[in-house]
Amino acid sequence: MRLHTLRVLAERLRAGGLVALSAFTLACTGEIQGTGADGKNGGSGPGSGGAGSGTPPEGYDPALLDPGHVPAHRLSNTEYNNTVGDLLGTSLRPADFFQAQTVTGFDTNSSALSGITATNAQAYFDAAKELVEDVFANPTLKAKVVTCASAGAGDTTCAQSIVESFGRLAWRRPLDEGEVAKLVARYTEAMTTLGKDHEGAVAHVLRIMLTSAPFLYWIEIDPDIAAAAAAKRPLNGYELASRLSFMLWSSTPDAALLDLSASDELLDAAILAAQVDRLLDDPKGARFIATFFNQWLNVTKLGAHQVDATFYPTWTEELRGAMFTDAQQFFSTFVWGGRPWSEFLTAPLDTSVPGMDAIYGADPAGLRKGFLGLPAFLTAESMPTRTAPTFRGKIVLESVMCAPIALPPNVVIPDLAEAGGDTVDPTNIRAKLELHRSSPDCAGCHAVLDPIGLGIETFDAIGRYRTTYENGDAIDTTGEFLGQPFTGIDELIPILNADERFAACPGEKVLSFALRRTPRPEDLPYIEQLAGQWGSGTVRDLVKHLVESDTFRFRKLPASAL
Amino acid sequence: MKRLFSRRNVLRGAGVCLALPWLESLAPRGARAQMMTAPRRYIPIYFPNGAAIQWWENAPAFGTSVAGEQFILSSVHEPLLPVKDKLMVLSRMANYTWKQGQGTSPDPGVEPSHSRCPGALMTCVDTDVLATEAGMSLPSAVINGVSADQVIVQQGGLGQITPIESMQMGLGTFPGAFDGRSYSYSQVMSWKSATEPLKRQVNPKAVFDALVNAGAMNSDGSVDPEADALAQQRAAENKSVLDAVVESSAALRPRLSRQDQLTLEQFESSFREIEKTVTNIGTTISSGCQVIAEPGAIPEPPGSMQGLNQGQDGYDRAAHALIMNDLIVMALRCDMTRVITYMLDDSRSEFNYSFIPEEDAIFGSTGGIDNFHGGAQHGAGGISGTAENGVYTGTSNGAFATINRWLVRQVADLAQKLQAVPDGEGTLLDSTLLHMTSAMRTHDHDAYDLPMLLIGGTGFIKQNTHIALAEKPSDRQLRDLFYTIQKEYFGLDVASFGDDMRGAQNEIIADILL
Repeated sequence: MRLHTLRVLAERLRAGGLVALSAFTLACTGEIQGTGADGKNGGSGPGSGGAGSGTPPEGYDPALLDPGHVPAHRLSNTEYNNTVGDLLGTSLRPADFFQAQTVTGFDTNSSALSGITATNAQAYFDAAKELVEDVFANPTLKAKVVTCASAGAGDTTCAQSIVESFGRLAWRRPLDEGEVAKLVARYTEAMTTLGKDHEGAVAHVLRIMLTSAPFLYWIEIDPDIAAAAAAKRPLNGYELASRLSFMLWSSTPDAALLDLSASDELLDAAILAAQVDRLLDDPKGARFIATFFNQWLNVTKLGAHQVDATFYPTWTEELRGAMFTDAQQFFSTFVWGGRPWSEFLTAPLDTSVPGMDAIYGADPAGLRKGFLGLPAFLTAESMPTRTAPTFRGKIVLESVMCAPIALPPNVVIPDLAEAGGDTVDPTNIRAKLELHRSSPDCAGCHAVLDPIGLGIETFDAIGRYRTTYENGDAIDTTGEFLGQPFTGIDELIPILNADERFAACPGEKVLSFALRRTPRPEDLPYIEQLAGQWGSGTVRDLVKHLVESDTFRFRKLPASAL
Repeated sequence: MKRLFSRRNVLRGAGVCLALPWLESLAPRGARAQMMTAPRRYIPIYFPNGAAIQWWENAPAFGTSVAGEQFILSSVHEPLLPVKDKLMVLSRMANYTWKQGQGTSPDPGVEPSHSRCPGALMTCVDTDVLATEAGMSLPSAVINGVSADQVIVQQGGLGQITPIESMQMGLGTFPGAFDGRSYSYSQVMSWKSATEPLKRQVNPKAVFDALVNAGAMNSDGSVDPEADALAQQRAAENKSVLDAVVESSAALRPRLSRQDQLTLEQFESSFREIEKTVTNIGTTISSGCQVIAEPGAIPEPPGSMQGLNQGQDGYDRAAHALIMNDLIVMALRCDMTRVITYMLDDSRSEFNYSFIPEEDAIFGSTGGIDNFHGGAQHGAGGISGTAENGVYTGTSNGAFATINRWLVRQVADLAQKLQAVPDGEGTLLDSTLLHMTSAMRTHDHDAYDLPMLLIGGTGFIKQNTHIALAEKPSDRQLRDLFYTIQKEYFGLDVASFGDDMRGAQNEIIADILL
């Protein structure tokens, strides 16, 4: 199966008489090779490149692969909260009040997190103080940190052991001798000049460690900078542990992971894969679903979404919560339940989440399935008073298919009302959008975006099944996507399902999430390789393929970083 | 630790600022040298999504001006009536700095306008072009020029004069889409350097803490020995933490790539920057400083299309705006800082403004007011053209004008609060220049004829006037206004400011000067 390229898409668009060629951008270009195999491709040793089954696609040569690097950058605010919770046992969430620095894509993208301002510094400084006070006010939490007592004035044996053991957990690597010595000196300073007792001095050192760069930042330290720019180098166990843990737990690695790092066992592909299973099956694995899936598919937006209760009296805060749980349930089947990605648009939905009967109750049997029927998606991509087929279409194209829509240059984007849409009955959104598309400026994008959304108009602005608009007009779900006509969701889904970009997209997203970057051109051959190797299996398998790859396990500095 | 923000908590702090005379003997050390003339302050204030046509309804023909009794406030500017004698409405100021279409005529319409226009607002450079030239991907690029306010801070050495170099505040608890770019163009006005965006702080508790930590305290003149000892102890501990943190980073730095070294250098300098604040023991700062009651905390929105909308978790925008004004007044009268950028909302705000009371909802139907960007800016109507004398024709919807009027009222409230505080020979408003502007004109996204007000700055600019600068093709450029403020108001020796695709030199805008 040859998977198609941007050029093919452009040809199709041209064939369809659309004018939006330049408006389509595709993040993954080049040709993607499918495998038809089961996608499970046994472990590959470090340096072997993890070649998949089937013929490698053009442009992919594991020997030449440039894995790139993750530059030093701060933890995201979510990661900060999770990390202090997991590390200290505190229930404080200081980062709820930190400033968020986000770029398009995932909130862990390193490009926005490498910078820091005095405002950020002040927030970290205050938070560390508050966290240490919280821990030392709680005997149970304190006992986990203050593991020994001082033998008397001048004795630093206990302090040193705390610095070494807590330091390894907090800085996610063993401290070097100089680092240990400096922190122990701060302990002594606190005892001698700051008037602290043993506990107070330990608290002071803890505060320093939690304010320091190795705690606040992801830092991968190359043993030899010039060599790391000349050729890729394998990551050490601790670096792998952090990459794995922040991807799957949105948090710091635990002691078990660090122990496997110390012994270098984590460098073994089979052990690494087993750790993927352990982390995902841990209760903290739910964070992967909440962070990765919700941000990828824009479900995060549901949290602040407004629904106008005069139009939708069923809407309540409880329903919002139930929709999140319902979405989490659905996404988790691709991680925990063994369901393959190929069923993402066709799998039946689990309608058992408490409170969701208000949405699922009126469904005709067998109608609703897959992501396009997911109430969290349908609601988040609606307006407060009506559906927004354009928003829904945009998410399907941009997030599910990895085909971002670029705005046309120099075109004012008017609201529906401005484009003349208000001259038709406001409750029939298709009629409004058709007017919208009558403008050539608008048609370029909307002719591509709208049909998908209009094909699922049978679901209202909170995702309930319906057959008519509020004004009594029958819902018309017919349309055409890339030249292929459909009468409704049942015919639309197979068209989307057969699109090559649907199969390739998750690989791009998981790489972007794990390596905390917008994919570079150098990543594209590997993304194609990954899609073929994976064969639209489970997302758990996808994660395993990625972590076994050289792209994940190696690092190479670009000349621009030197 | 989750401190929920309540209206009661916020209102607790409101209205406790009482006017106190400027006491020369108690003035902060740095301020003493400048006692004869009160120090000059500058507060650029941004509002998103442009303005309804009502902004210009009483505007004079372009190239002319009206003043005094001939200067009649438009309906969206009416809340400024109490400070009309300190007000200038300025029309026909453009920001055509983008290089898009190089070699052709300047084009005020750029996309994505809700990121590029605010990105260029305070820097007058095109961020998309910068990013492209630097080989960065547009969705994740964080790059710009140094902003006009930061040029003033840096060249004026304000960091050596006041405890806090500059502040960035805002009300954006629920940002809209970032138009496929980073947060740094939608939630930021100030850029300290090309890669250091200074994001606005929405949390009044954090602003309050920063001011108090920097030494803001009521000026009864006495020193409590016990409190002083505690402050000394706290300062010594803080200093030890800071030194250790900077020391460990500096030790690590040489082992890293140049790129990562720069990252850690920035880490160290941002912690050194807070050193003055966290080691201040407070005894040197007093004067006419008045500390307001501690406000409640408001969480930062985690990203685009997320956060608190009106009414969620008890959030109230009106109360939030009042308390931020009180904090700005506190910061200025305590001379904690002299430059504050203030975002009345994030770019492309979709905030629900339906709470706006009747006194400002005077424009008929407010349909669409529950979504500033989608419902009001892009609601029905807009500027359709210009009449013979250059005055705009068309009608905007009531929601758009209502939001504009309410935002103007917040600035009017700030101006009146500053007017109530004596400072030098005048008031705090006289020694402050409030500069309210959007980054785009109206629903059309053009960075042409930006809706703009200047309030205060007594002795520097004309007041009680509407000045409409000359029309195209001689649009006056915003970079020249910043240049004028830097040279004429702050007396700085600035060679040039902002980009001009035509290569034009900066020019003083004499029309606005006294």
